[in-house]
Amino acid sequence: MLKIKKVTIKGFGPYIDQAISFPEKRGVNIIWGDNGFGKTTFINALKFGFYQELPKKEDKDKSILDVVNMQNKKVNDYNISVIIDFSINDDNYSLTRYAKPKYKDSIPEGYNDFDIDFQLQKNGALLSKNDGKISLERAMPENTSRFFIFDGELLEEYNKLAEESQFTYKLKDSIEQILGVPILTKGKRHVNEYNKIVSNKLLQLSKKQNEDSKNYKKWEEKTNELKERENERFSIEKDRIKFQQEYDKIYDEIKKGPSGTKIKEYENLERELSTVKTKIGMKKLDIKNTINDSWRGLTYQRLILYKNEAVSFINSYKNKIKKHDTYIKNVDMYQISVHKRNCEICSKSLNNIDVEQMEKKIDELKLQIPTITDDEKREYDKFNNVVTIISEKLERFKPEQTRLEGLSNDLEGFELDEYVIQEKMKDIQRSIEDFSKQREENVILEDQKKKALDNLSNATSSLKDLDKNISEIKEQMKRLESLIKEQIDDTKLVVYKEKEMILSQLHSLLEEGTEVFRNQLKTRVQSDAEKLFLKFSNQKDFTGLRINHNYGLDIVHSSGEIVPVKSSGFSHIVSLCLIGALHKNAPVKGPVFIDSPSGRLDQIHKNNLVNILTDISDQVVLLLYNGELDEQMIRKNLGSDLTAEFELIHENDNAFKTIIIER
Amino acid sequence: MNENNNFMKLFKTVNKIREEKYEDFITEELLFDLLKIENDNFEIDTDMSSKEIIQLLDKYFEKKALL
Repeated sequence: MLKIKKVTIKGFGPYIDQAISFPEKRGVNIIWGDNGFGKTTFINALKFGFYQELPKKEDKDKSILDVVNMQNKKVNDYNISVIIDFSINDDNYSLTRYAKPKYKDSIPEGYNDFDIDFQLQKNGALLSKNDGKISLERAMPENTSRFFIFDGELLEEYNKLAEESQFTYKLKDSIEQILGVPILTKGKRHVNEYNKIVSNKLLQLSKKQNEDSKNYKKWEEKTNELKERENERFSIEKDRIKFQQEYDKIYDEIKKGPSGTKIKEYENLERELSTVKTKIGMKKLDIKNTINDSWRGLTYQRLILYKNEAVSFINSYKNKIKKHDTYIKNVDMYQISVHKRNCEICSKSLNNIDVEQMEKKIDELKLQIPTITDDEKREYDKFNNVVTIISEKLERFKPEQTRLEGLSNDLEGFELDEYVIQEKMKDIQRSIEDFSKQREENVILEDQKKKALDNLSNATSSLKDLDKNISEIKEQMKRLESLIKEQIDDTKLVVYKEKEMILSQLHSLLEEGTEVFRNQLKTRVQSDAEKLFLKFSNQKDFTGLRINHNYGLDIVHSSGEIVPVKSSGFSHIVSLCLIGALHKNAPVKGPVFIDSPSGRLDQIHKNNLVNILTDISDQVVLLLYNGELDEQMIRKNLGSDLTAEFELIHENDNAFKTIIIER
Repeated sequence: MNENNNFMKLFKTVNKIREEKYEDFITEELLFDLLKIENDNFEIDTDMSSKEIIQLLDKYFEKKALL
């Protein structure tokens, strides 16, 4: 677990020289501060410290100048530094990231006028640059930072990102990294690399033995053919790039003309169309999968009947046990009374006649004790298991008709969108063509564009054909290589063949392992996110979460239907639950810093948010504006889990100087 | 992957598949050592783990008298 112990910020934003120490204890820390007092800057300072990341600006070069403290700037002090003291298990680290002007006598004007570097100490000893870089990347991997340090306002973007194809890979990759999947994928890659070495060696040795063989000659011919095709490809690719540049230039020229606005509109619609097409593809896949699983619906009623039978047996067995225990208890009581010669119920002392009657009663009772056989006990265990299994899986066997109807409606909606967009595009295309016919220079440009486009299409199509041809040749070479290898009998070659076989088995094992592990992770993340969601959400109809292949989460309604996450508030909730579940399953556990965490949550969900904070991470730091969450409620709900509270204030009302005080 | 629990979960998952299908070719020790190397280097992408994997496999082949 990585824990941040202290953060010192110098010359960065409104912080001239401020430090904040977080308690070692597990819990939640709060930094209170109104707008403009440095909450977001605090998050930016952390990102600068860990990743040398600066707030995104249009003019990237100026972004560093924007973070330099304004008061320091007045006295030409452009130095900034962020020191982060943290611990990982038993090791203590101190990271210093600084930026200082390169030239003493001139004022820096942009990024390149600064020397930016870092130092990392481990347990008091300074690490070399390379070791420092590696340790830092291990401590807080940059591409997973969005799960450690983030702006609450952006949380609702997560689910949207998981839906948009261009971001999906990146998001999925980051999530899989946080969950440790690269251990297997990298292992697979490294085994493959080694296998290539062995395979080449084997081929070289085989070739020596087979130089005169027919297959070897064919292989040589194919090698030459491959070289020729690859050279050809290289030259066409060069042309293609040239044609593309020509086309872009002409297109830019056209865009500057009267049809520019229409072209931009057309491009936007093209992007919209591509998104809708992706959605249609995904919906169709979803429908296909739902239909594939629809056989389950046929067994739903039968499963309910079977479950009811099992429950009825369990209940009657429990009644029998209860009866059995009551009889035994009564017999015991009578036996004790006889033994003590004193009634256990009324405390009356017993004479011989009473004792005789009681002994008779004991014999009668003993005859009435219900017998519980081993078979019944086994049946009881079996039915108990049946009920547990059916209850867990029953949801999956619900008839999918309603779900299918919902999916078909969605699909129809998307297809209608597709039609509307395509029609709009046709209209715009017509008006662009009309524009181009109006003036001679437009006609010339359009003609040039057409020629450039033809050239580009021809080159692209030739490349496609060549790629197909190249991959065929490679395939043929692979077949010949294996034939050549098969013909060998030398002991050394046999050894290599066996090595190659072991490595390919190892590769297959890691491949299968990756798939199984991925599925297990998804189940665990879904289950943990669901636990948090049920604690967080106030909507009683929502009974769970379902994870999709991109790690996006959908809400499950009590009817079993999937509810798309459309409300910003619920997007926020679901994303926080995902982050909590990721932290729980992540190999690299770390703190969570959230700027303005309550986003668009209503009052009830704000309260619930406070209650799940300690489930998200062992160290949570919230940056809140005054009034964002009710202070009394936080203190009451968190109790001793609220480990520290700080406040950002301006010293002497100076907006360029924020100081951090402990409350 | 610092916490052992998660590493052991991963190892057990893959080892189960090994026991079922790959027992004749891959030993438990080899699988464990390989995953451990990747685990120790998993947050970063350097040549370090690649080199260590080659050494590990060389050793394995040496043991199997395949060098």
